[in-house]
Amino acid sequence: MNDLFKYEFMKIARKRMSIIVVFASMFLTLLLFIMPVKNYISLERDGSQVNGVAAIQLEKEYAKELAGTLTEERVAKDIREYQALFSNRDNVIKNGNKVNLTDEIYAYYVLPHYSYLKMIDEAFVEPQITDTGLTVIRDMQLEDYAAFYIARAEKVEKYFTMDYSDWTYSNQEKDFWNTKNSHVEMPYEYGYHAGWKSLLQCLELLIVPIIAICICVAPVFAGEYQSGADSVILSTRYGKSKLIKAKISATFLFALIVFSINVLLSVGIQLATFGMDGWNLPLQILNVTVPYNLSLLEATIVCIANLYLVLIGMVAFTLFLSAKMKTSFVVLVVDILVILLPVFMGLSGTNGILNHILMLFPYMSAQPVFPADYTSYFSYPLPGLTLDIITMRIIVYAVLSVVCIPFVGRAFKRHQVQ
Amino acid sequence: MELKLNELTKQFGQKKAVDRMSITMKPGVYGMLGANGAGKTTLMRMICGVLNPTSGDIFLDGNSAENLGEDYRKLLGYLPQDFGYYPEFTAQEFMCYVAALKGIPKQEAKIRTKELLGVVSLSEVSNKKIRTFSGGMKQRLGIAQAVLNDPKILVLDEPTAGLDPKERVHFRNLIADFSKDKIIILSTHIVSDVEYIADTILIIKDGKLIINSPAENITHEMDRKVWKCVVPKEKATEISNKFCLGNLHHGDDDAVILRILSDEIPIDGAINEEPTLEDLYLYHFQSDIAKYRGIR
Repeated sequence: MNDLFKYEFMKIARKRMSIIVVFASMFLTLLLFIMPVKNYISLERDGSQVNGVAAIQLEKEYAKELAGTLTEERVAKDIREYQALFSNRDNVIKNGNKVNLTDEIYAYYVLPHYSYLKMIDEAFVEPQITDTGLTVIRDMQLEDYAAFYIARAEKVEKYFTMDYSDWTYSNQEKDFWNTKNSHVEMPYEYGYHAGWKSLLQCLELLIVPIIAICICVAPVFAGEYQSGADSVILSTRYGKSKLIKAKISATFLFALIVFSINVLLSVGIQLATFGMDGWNLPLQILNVTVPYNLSLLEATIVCIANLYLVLIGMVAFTLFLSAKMKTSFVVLVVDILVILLPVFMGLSGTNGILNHILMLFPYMSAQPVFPADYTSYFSYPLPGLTLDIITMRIIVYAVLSVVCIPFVGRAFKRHQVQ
Repeated sequence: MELKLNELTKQFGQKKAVDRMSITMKPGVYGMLGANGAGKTTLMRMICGVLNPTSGDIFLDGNSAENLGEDYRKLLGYLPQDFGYYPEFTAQEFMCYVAALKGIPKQEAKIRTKELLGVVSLSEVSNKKIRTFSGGMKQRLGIAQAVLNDPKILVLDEPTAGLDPKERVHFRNLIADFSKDKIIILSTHIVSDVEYIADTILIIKDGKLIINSPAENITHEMDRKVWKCVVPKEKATEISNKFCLGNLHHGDDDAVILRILSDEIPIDGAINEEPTLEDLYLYHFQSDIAKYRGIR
């Protein structure tokens, strides 16, 4: 078995196509994860632009000024300070009914803390409204405290009562999300977190190595049929037994090694440049209403684990296709269609059930659920049980793997050389 | 040891590639002759368990090959017609891989690999990638892998394809040495390949076994059916078209020497010749040959 495993691994890893595809995907991963670092922009208080590593350093300094616990009093104080900027006539420009801060004041006081102020603003903004100008916190009447967490809770409640064209939340779902929200720790802790933010935004790009791995493993069985080696191997003693196990294990090991290298490259690049700081901060500082009680590190681990599951599911599915189809080209066509189907179809504006299905396809499943309100409250109501999208993905890809593997063996054993 | 095919049939759509074939094989070399599409490859695939018969069974010493599974396959050696290989593997790696598939222990596999690569004259290139091999070298590697496990049943489908005349003689000697106490089934449409080494000749036509005869008796049915005719050049074409032509040779003058296969004397003055296996083959496949001529 060990020898068979070794040779099967060699067969996959030594193929010219595998070598080219693996190196191309690694190069692409490097490129895609370096770009956010290279293109990172920050503005000095005088409005001058800084790029790359220098911008990250500047961002760290700005974030240091804001680090701490977001108590209601602290939030109220920060909103008041922001509002105070508008009370000085010298700071503002009037354009008809609109009142804007001058460029100098905006660059000096607002831009360095924009992400922070935007996060505060988000809690008070109506759902599905984007307030890039931070007008809500500019115009709001403040008591002694900001009612920031109350506003968050009210906003969450509105998610469930709003009219959506594709979905209506059931009471079961509302209860599920309210319970989940009740576990979110408050008040939030704030601090520098640019690395984790960038990483969580970029992780979906790891779908590229998943596609690359599927390309490499597509010929595992179909390649034997294509080359005519099936006659020799199926007529041997272990051709219909140990060989199948060896092929499956070698394929998974290859997939896990290649994918792990890509994960290490991507995470390594981002955390080495942005720094690890902020790993223990709550996920809510990225999206104030997100209902998952996770730190940024935990959220990243969840996303990566989710990607590993997609990988395992897709490799199992590819092996199944490979054992059933006569050529690896057909395997690849089906694979690519399945992976990219939601890209071709797009999410429906009116059909929620279709959207709930499309969200489980590999391309969508590679995307983190946390940054967007739409996906962070995406649930699958079953009789007596509601599943969040992360759990649903885990179940779907685990089931896909478990179901496909026995059929792989069956299809190869029953293959007829013709 | 006895390998028995019982009413073995394989049907592809409406076409019966192998039609109720029954034969009992004991140790010895079986030379299987037949035109392209006669059903040789299909039959061999069924014997090797890589193609299921539509009906009929294969028995080894009275036990169903299907039920024996691994115990049957461990006795098999198979060289398919289109031999699939792995271009990134060296000859040695490929042999060790097949050895692992055949359940040969690692150390033994190394020794056998070295020995067999020597036998098929591939020792010097044992560490070269198969990608760089010529057709003949790949075929020799295929032969080596087939005998790696010292199989009790060796199935060779067109084993001499791609081999030069010297390699073919070498191959024949190799099989002759190897054949003791083994069932060797060798298919070809090159008559001389089996003429010298087969103990039994099997001739297959349209999926049916039409001749199953010991090699020494095989040409008896052709006695007094092979004629040597010397005819003028202008009459040669007419006679060739009328009878089954075994051979045609231009003499020194205007005369042409024809070897005609016919139940009756073809022309006056024709002389009876000693029949060969090739005569027998041509006699039975004359309609296929006529078809081929028509196409040409």
